[in-house]
Amino acid sequence: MVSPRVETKFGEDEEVTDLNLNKEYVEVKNGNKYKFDYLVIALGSEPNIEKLEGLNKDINTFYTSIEDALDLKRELIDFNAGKIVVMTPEITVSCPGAPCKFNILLNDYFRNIREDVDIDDVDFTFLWPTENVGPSALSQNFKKECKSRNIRFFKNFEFDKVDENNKIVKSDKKEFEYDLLITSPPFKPPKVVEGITNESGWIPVDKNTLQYNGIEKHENIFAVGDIVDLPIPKTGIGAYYQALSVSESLINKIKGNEVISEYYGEVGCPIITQRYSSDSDGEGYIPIWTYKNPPKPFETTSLGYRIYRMYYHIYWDAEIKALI
Amino acid sequence: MIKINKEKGLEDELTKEEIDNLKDLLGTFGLIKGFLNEQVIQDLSNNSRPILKLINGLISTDLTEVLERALQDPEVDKALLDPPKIGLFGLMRALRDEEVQKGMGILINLIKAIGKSAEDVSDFEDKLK
Repeated sequence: MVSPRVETKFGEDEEVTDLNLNKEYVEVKNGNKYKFDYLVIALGSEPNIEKLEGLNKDINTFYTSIEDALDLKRELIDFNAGKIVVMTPEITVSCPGAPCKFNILLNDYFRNIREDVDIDDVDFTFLWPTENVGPSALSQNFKKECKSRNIRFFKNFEFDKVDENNKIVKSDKKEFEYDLLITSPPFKPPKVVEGITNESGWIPVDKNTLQYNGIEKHENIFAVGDIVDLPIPKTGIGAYYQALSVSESLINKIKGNEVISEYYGEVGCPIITQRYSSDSDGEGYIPIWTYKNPPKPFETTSLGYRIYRMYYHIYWDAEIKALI
Repeated sequence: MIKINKEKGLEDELTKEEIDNLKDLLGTFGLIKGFLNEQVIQDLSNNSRPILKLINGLISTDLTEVLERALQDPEVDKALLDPPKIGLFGLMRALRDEEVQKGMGILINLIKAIGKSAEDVSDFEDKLK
């Protein structure tokens, strides 16, 4: 997938162990140092299950690895009746929309795909740590979907602990019984960026130029993706638009014209409210918004679902290569 | 351009013919939408992937600029209408021409790159097995 023009270094030995912004080099595990004229920091984020005591008990999650996601898939295939609790104990998840959409799709799976299950035999609860789920239009859409599907939505949830023996999640005020607990863990930046982050723990950048904007400023260093501290959710669509902006700015710098291609906070969140099935035409939408222009109220549509599915199938050949 | 006054509504703003065209368009759109089930969407997407790969290859190189100019070369125009016959000796004579040598240089490098890419793709597919 990567152009042969790009010299790639993969493998454990190439894991970044030091980022020296002043001396302008990156050091990796095998001891090699790579000097740079320009640097783009795109090291992402990592699950941080240890952050909250007791979160690792009875943990089922699609966030940590493909193996864990497949384990959860098997749990769901074997699940026929009972209480499912989906829990997001902290908001700093990579793609905060994912656990919300997961609730809707999970409900849709038992309602429209699993013909062996009576939907009334499955009880759905969603625990969420803040008042709203993303911007107002998304939150309204999500709450409406929860209501119409009998998914109990508990906002401002404050995680206390998991009692795995009695199968109970406890908050400071309430207890939630479960038969299957599905967790979206908190996230953290990789350890190697300690020392170049701000008080949020993430990399500070100018929100429009995406140039490093810490105590010392570096116009030749950019950062994109989950690792950046920006006033928008950490999402793939955001990283995509940031990459377009930074690559254009880099081309301009290398050509010597110094024109910065500005990023205006373009970010989005594909919403699927119904999968295509024998019972449903499929319903979806992809709201896109910017720093100061929040998403407008929307309804998911069957055409929106089809566009989303095409986007899914051509992702690696179109989206990731910036053809569209 | 059709401007729609929200207070008046579509029927007051559009002619009967425009409304009929709109109905026709929406009806046809419904037909296309109904045709696109999961498998058709996947097939259409997969079928477009080689085209996307080619587009990616073409937009990131000067090849299209060079080919555009080469295809408009008057000598190529003449050759297309009246193909010159070139045998082994003609080929050897042509190879003494500097521009032919440069063109050959590009082709040889392309052939080498195709060989290398074929190895890369084959190695990658072996790893997937």
